[in-house]
Amino acid sequence: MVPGLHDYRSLEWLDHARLLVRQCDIEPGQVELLSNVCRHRQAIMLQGSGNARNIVCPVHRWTYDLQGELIGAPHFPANPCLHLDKQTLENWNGLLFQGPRSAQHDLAGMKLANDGVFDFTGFKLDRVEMHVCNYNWKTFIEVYLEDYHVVPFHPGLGNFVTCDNLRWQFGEWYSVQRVGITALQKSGSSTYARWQKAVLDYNNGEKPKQGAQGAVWLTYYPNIMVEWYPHVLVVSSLIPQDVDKTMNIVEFYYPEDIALFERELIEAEQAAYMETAIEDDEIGERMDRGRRALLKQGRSEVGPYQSPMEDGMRHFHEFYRRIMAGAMDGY
Amino acid sequence: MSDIADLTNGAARLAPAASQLPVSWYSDEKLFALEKQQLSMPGLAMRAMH
Repeated sequence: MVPGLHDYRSLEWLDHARLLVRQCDIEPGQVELLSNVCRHRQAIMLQGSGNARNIVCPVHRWTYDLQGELIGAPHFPANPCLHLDKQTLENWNGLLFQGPRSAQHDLAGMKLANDGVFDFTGFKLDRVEMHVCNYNWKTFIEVYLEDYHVVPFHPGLGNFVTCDNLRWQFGEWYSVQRVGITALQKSGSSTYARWQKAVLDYNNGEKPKQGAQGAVWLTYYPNIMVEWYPHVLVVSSLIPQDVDKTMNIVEFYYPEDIALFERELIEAEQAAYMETAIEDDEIGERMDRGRRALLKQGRSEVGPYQSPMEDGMRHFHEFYRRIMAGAMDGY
Repeated sequence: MSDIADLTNGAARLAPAASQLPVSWYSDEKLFALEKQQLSMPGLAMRAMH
């Protein structure tokens, strides 16, 4: 997002209220999260991305340095010393997290990361998609954490990955699943056919090397998902907005050579990803509708978990009950 | 905490629904407010960025 010294980017999912700023070109840990709201009359200052030495509010020209220190307030006899709030971010395999929970600690036992599979250093952001889901955030996580529906409901994805060699690993704060990549010779939708062709073309007609590792889907509870397919990393963050409305912020990252020179591969991959997302939306909406219908009838029904394909959903339910236990007297 | 499951080695089996969440928990405004308190506490509202 901010690869160069003094690069900045405002976060659209917060209506640009915060900025990522690279303070120093020494990795890691030199990207900070700064408030982008002026301390004078609370206006949003920068919007978008760029490179700057100072942050200047366009309304009254209050000026801050990149550490958030107020360095100029025109026509005030003295500096009011109202500085911008800032947070240091934690680097985990090239991804940055804001605390105080520690991703390094929470994800430390993940075997896939220790194998070096998860290392996203050098990946470049290509696009941020803000996708509204008209169903409960827990329903989203449930659908994400079960592979039982992949073949019956995702003709495209179901021919790109195979759950025949599904692997799970569970921790206190995460679950991670690994599925296989098919030979990419058969496609289940025109959108996936385009992606599969682009992947094969990029690899001179061969299955990509990552095909041996498969696709890796990590859920860092309660709301962050990291997906690694051949040549792409997708980070999704859920923001619950109402009981039946969830904002999903989807970020697409690519290795630098692909980000710069492989537009067709990028667009084909993003189209395939969103096709699957729309299909998942239908599942989530159906599940929420059915649950509301039962509730109106005064009924509550539950079903069995298919193991191992729904082991992740079961683990999420255990996590949820554990975190919510102290607040749920009367439930 | 669980170990790695392996579809090829493990028998596909139906497990009892010991812990699926009740249907009312997906549309309960009061519970949603509790979730926002519990799940939006600092450190749970993390976001990955690069």
